[in-house]
Amino acid sequence: MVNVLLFGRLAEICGQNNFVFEAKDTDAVCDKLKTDFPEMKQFSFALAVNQIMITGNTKLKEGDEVALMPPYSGG
Amino acid sequence: MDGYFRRQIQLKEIGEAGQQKLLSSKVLVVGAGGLGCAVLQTLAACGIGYITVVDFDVVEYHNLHRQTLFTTAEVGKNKAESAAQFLSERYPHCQINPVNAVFDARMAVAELPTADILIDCTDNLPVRYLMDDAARVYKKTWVHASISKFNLQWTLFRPYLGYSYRNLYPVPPNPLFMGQCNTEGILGAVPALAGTLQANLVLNALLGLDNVDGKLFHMDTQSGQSYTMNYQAQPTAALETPEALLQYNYEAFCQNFNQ
Repeated sequence: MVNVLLFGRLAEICGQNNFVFEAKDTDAVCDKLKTDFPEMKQFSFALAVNQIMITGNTKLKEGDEVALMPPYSGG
Repeated sequence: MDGYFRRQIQLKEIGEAGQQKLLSSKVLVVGAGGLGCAVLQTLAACGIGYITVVDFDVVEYHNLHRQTLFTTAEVGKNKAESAAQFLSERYPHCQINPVNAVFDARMAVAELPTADILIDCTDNLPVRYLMDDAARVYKKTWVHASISKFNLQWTLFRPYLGYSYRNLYPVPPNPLFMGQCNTEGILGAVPALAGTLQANLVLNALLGLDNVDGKLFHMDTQSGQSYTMNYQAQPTAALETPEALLQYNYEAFCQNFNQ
């Protein structure tokens, strides 16, 4: 199981800011969220595994934390 | 300064030399809204010597709950000029240069060479990418904060060292799916908090006391929970010269959000 953190509008769309589910890699995390919450497809975000930003698909192990951080714009 | 800054000078990390450094620093603040009001007042009070503040917008009645430099009498007046009036009356050690204009590449090319640090207090994505690129070209630090309802992000960027906004968000988001204060609403304390965090980073950066390269900070102001995202420095294949900045179409870039 991996721990998924969602921030800002992403948490609003998904109705919660934290999920725990099975995923073998970060693509699987994004695919699952986009399937369950299709509005997610409209958003861009940075992805981090264990608080370190990644730029490509990354394998996950038990207990990893994946964060989806969208850019904010209010000022 | 007759003891005005005594409590700052008492800090061994600052001292007389540090305070003198702040008093001789020139900062460029883009935007005098919710973030800008907090940034401007904190920086002026702490002894920044020179502030250029850029804003094309006018004060509106529904700004006043969070844009605390302005009064009801200033509704309809330019924000940069109104902020400058407030600050110069209250903080005579600080020279304020208000600019009633849109911050564009031409202004970046004119203002950046003499600025020590840039501060993004806008809610505007094209300006954010312009600032990132201009800071790379002129080897400047820029300080960022933005808000989504009760949540904040803030950090500073040094794009010339590979720590850039473009690294975090190479593809601009779809503006239709970005939260904005004018559509979502905003609790007045949140931009005040974000702007104060920005000003704190500015002061630390000017004093050489910051240690935040490669980090983006996030705070949920309702739960108090913080999150730090770390990222690696990476060279960005982007604009390198003032001429390239002037030719780049930031509005068009930010419309090109399809992934």
